[in-house]
Amino acid sequence: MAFLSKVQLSCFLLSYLVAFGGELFQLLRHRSGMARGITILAAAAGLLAHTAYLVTRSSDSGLPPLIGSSHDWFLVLAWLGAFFYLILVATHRRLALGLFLLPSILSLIIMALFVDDVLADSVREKNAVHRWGMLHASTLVIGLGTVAASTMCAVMYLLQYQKLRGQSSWLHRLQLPSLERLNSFIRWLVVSTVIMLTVGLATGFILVMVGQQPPDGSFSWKDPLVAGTSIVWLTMVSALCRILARKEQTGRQVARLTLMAGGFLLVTVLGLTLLSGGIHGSSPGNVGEMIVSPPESSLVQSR
Amino acid sequence: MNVVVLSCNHHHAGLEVREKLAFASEEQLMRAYAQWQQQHPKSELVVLSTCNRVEIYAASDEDSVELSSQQITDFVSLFHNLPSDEFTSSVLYHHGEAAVEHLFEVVCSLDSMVLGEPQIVQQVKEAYRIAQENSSCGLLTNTLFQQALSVSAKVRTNTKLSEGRVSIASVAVGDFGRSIFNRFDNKVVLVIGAGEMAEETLRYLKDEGVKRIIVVNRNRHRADALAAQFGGVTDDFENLEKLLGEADVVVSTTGATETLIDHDRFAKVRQASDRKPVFILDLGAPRDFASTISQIDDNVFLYDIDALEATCDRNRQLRVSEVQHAKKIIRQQTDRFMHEVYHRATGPVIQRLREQWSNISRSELDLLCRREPDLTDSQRAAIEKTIHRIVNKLLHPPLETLKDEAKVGTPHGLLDAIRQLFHLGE
Repeated sequence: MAFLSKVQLSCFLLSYLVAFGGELFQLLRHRSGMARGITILAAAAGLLAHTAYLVTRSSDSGLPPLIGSSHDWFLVLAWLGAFFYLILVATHRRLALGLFLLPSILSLIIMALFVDDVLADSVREKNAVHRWGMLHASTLVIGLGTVAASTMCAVMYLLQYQKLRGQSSWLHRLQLPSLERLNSFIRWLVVSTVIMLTVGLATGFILVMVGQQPPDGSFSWKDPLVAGTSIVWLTMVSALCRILARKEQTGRQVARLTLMAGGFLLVTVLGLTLLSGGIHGSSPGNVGEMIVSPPESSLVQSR
Repeated sequence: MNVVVLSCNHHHAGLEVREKLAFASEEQLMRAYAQWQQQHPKSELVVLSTCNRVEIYAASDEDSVELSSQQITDFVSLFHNLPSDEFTSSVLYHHGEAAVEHLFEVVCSLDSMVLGEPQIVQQVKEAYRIAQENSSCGLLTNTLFQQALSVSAKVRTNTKLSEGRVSIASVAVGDFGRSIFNRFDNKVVLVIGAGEMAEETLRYLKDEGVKRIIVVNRNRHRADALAAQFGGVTDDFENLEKLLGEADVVVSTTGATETLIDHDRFAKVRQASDRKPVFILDLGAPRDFASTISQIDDNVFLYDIDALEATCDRNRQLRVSEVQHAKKIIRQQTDRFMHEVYHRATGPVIQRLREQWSNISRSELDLLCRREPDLTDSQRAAIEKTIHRIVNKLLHPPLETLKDEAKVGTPHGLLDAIRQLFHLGE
């Protein structure tokens, strides 16, 4: 199994690129068993390499991938996307879901190239706070994943709507889920996002309050993820309230609202993360680092 | 290999001829198979009889059995008690490779009235099943029909020949309805009018699982009949506005000369309802719903005949554009099938040749061992291996030549030559 440790990020990036090419080919040219087979094979090979890469990084650091580094966060999100893509492509062969999922997966992997992939020494110590850190990181990653998924569903809803209204002639090639199903997905994904981000934020603040003060003693709202996730949370809660409160809202209005909220928030969080070089990575002493690479850093330093 | 097909289809024969040649029931088919077996005991037969075609495939794997189009014509004429000159000008005959290719085209629905329609596969399967049950299939028809079904699956998987619906009602429900709703079993369907289009659309909706159907029509008797046919209920025409507010799917096919539901009337209906998605199929000509009602809110999806027909046309075009691709696959598969059949014909000669050479080498080896009793086991094994290699090397050129020749047909001349040269017998 030594070859697994030699898997590079470019291996699965290229595999997903081939799978995306296969999806495009099937949309623009013609659908064939061979094209579908190559698409699935490429995606499956990519997922295998992706898994091997994450497992290797995780075993090298002795940490779960989620709390390793920002690089791992993006890759775990991409892995989840690829996993769902393979399930969906196997169960819904006519739907062109790969055209939406694969670009998101590719974007996440490319973004992972530009963020910090160095493991902080502070995250290596294991104690109860470490487990809180894990819960915090997992819920935030899943929360961001559900924001991305709800945004994707909103895009699909609006495209399907356009198609049904006959507003775009090229859309007839695109096979998408029904409006009823997409609307239901969007609502559930918004609810899930709010729950995940609430738990994620709450555990983050618990980590701070458990007594792990940053070295300079200050709590920084400027940390990209703290600020970004707080905005995400507030916006998603308000979006949820609007969606749940106004029953007469049409699916299209819900999709537009979700698209605006989700799209803006994803750009904000991911943009801030990229600009700062990584999640909680901008300044070693900020509270963000306390949340994900918790407390141990300050403990180590105080000793 | 000997395959002949008599094909009477909608391209070349009118309904009156097809009716005369049809094998309408299973019982009639059983009699036909029994009669054929009596007349031609060494050959195989499969009859495909649908409303659009009657095809009779006769085959024999034995070269000694002669099969001709005249034999099939005589059989049909005798069975249906019909003078052959009444139908011979309306039927086509295909022999050998052309017959195989024809069957592949039929089962892939390239020869169907509606290009890409799926029913033909079931019809071919059924015809093959009945032939098997009547012991009318043999090695050749079994291989041929199994291969035909496999080619059909291949063509359907690799082309868009069966994609896109091509009838108004199927497009309405399958393309538009299913793009709006995920399920229909919890939807209320309101049918305004009780014409043929309403009936056809209801058939598709019923297939999708619709349970609640309300029919309104100025003529209550026709509404009752339609509702009874699909397990629905009827209501008064006066309650139309209330019913429009409740309905998720509206199918309107009245023969009204003026617009039945104008913009303002429907706007009031929407105001009074919870503005849930409503899918309206306006199949009336002139239209029953004002075209502007789709602008009342986002959840009103209105389609008229023209919109549906445009989708049907696009789907037909898509299928037509796939014909060449499908034909290419069929051509490849026909070549492959023919090659396998031809190659199979060379099998017995190859086997006998191998056996003969193997027997000679074994007896020579035994002789050597008796003369040289001091040979060790390893020496004996080495000699045996060498002889085996020599036999294989000597056999390789003639077998390769046979294989090459079998690509274009059964190599009768070469097979006879091998039989004579090596005294293989018949």
